[in-house]
Amino acid sequence: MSNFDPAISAWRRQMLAAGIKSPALLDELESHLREDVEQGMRSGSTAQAAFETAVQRMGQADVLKAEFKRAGKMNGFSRINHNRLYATVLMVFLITLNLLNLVPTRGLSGMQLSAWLEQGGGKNASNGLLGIYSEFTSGGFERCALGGLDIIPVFFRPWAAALGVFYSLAVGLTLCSRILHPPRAAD
Amino acid sequence: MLTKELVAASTEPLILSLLSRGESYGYALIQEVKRLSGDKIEWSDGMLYPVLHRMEHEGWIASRWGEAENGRRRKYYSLKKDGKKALQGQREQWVTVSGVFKQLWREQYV
Repeated sequence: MSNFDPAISAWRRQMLAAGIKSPALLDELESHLREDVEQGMRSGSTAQAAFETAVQRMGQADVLKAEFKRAGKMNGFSRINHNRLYATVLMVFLITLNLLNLVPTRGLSGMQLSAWLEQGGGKNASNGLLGIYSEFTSGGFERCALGGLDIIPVFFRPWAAALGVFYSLAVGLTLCSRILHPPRAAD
Repeated sequence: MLTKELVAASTEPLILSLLSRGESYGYALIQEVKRLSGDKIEWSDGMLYPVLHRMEHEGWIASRWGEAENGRRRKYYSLKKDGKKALQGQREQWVTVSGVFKQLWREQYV
């Protein structure tokens, strides 16, 4: 059937142009096309007519692409559990915030500031805004102030960060496994 | 000819049933279902392959490239364990529906 090769190549180029790019899929469709052409010729069609009928039966490239897209939509990304996705994003955000606490803020010395507050720096400083802030962030003021803004993991920062990492990993792994092996929809 | 909705609903269980008899490939599946239905079910190529790929993605069927008698490469599909389970579930549903029809129509025509 080598005399079909140019026509098949042209057909493949057409499919490629329409966005069907997977070589394995194109190989499979090509194998089907050749089978169909041979069958057509066995039942008496000319080579030309058999080829044209087979291509027509296969369908327009853009229609095929749309079918694959439609079939693909029913699994994979559309089946992601969005709650888990949001939880992961939130945890990553909180971890980042916690890590930001490790970035020192230029020009601020925590020790000096703390000594100044203890000496009653300012008026009744331990009750002042800065005092409360510094206490709440367990010294976050001398580091990146932005990172100190999260409240939850204040009291046991390393544990919170470790838990956060563990939780995010668990969620991330679950998410990946669901993308790779999506659960089947209920009947 | 079947309605579009019925074709859509029956394609997966039909493919699963066809593959439960042994591995096969796209072209043969189309021919086989056409023959068995007395030419009333004619799947289009453009419909079948996306469904096969989706079912493979679901883990119901597996595929492998093999060689046909004439030396051509063919992609063969076969049923996996999850596919057998899926078929069992689908089968029960179709048997239920056809059982109801059988009873109703027997009452009607006998």
